[in-house]
Amino acid sequence: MYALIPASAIAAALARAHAQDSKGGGEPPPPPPTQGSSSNPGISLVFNMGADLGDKVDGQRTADFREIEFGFASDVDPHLKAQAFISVAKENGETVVDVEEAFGQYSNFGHGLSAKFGKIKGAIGRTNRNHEDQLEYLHFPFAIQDILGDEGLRAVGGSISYLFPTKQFHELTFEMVDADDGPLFKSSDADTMVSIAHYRTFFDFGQDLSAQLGATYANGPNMQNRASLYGFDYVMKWHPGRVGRSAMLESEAYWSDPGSPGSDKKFGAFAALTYEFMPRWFATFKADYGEIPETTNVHRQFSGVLTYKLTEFEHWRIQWDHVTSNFDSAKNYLSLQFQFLIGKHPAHKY
Amino acid sequence: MKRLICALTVAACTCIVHAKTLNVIATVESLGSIVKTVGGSHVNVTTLVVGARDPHRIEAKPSYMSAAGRADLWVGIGLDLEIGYEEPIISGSANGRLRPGSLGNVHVGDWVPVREKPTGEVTRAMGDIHPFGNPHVWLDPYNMRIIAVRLADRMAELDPQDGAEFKSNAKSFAARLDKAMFGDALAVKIGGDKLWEWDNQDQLIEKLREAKAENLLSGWCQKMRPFWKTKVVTYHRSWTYFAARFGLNVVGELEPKPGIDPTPAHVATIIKLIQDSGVKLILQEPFYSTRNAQFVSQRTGVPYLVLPGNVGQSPGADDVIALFDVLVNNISGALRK
Repeated sequence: MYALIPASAIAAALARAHAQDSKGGGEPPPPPPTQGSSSNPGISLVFNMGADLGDKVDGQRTADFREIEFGFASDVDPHLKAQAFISVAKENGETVVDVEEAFGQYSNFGHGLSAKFGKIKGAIGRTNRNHEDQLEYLHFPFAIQDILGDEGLRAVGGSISYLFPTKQFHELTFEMVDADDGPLFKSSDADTMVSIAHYRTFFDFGQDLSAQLGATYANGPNMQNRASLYGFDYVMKWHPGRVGRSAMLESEAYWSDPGSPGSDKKFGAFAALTYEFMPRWFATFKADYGEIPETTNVHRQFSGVLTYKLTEFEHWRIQWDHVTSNFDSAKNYLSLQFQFLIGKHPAHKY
Repeated sequence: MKRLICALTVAACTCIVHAKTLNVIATVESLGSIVKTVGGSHVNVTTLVVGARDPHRIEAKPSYMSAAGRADLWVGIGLDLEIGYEEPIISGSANGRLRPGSLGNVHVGDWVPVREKPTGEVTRAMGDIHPFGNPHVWLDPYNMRIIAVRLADRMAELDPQDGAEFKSNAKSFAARLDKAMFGDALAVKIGGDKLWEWDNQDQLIEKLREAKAENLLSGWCQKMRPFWKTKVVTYHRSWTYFAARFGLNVVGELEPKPGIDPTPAHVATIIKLIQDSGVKLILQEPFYSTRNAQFVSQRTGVPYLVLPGNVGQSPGADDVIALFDVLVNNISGALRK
């Protein structure tokens, strides 16, 4: 990948790079700002391409781009920050443009309060708040897809968060969103909103080990009925100081009640362990279980994922999924992914 | 009795006035150490990058948001060092006082001479390059002197009651730094400001000769003086400021480009570079694997040193002056062999 260059050329280039005045050169003139000096929005593009081997999902090509996600972020004024994520994706062979998120965020009310308005990812668990390109595996788990849709719950509404003024992290989020076309929450009445409450807390077990625990409750329309959802999310991360070693255990569990006469409560859960076994190489093992609402269908998935993150802007991934269900024969999927990002530096989210 | 009541009232008011504590977030330990030195008992400091960790790579942990939520002041390096976590932490803290551009948000990179500012187009083909310049500014003691004084001013704006003490503490820190750098006698005789000015203009020795004070030079400056222009290789481009201040000549890095892991081809090139150009030492921080430095060292016979790149990254490097003590003593010791 790296061309061999003569040592003399390298030495000359390095000498030029290091050729600076050797000291501070006296008092400097007033320097320019050291962070983004432009009022243009930060723009990022995530390219997600892949190939599917083994059993195919209906209508899916062997190799194709999966999604290109455009991200925009900028301060609107001293009070408001705007963000938008627009994807161009292949769905069932067709190219679809979708606004994944587009919202304004106030985070300087003081007193620990912040608010978002617009199309947002619902505060249900932790994984649902991520975009697919931020996951350590391909596709949202069944436990989320079955109740919230293929890419989780995204809807127009408002969100208010309160960060408790305590030494330990406690955050409470309340949202009202107009989610009306999901597997669990659906309605033909535009006035009917889904209410979501999420609480999360965080534990530091020394410098290397930390964990976050969250709980969700949501209630919203299921046509003429009221559906409800509650669940727990948990993530534990191990980050020793040494570069090239890390581990993450994440798990979420949900119970959903469609609220319709005669329908049962359903359960879904997943757990994934990701380990950086050598610098930039990550192995992920995921177990996933979902009971599909208002049916008797149940499916399970076991996944093994190998990811090579060449830099934090580029990765190659291979994922094997073994899916069993009570409504279809066992399937094996083998997927390749090549994803890269240009533009604005990504946030190091927990 | 009236006198007693008056005295108690005055004492109580005094206690109330002096009870203010500034809550400060410092991104790296060298900055945290300066804030503690300047703020004394009037500050409560939370440092984000603690111990032997790469300051480029930490995550925006929710506990940082809690600490930032209570903070009066964010002290970061800037120059995009904290690009991955400053915004999410401040945004997640819901604390408008810390927003960039506010009185409670400081990037010390704005205050000091910045090196290696790229000219021309900057792309990621150049590696994890910082478009505003090399952010490792804390590894020049002169920069820390500026930062202490400027921080005292900013903290005095936020806590005017204790402002005089902050400024006094900063001055005292600068005086200790001057003595550590140039020696007690010279710092007293010539004065720190003048000495740094001469050093910044590469005229220190010449001016000392003119002042017939060359024999008074001691401290870090004197320890490193025999190794002026000595060639070294570093793992990451993080020793630029230290090397420039103490006259080391960094001729290459084990990383082919900033933030990119060493490749076999590049390591081979560095081995040849070391053999051809008379490099004497390899330097790296403790959070990188020593595998490549060990390999290069074995092939070339040039020793490598794993040294703290920040306060708190090794035993003994407990504050800014101790950090430079560790660096100067280890490097000069290794080069003397």
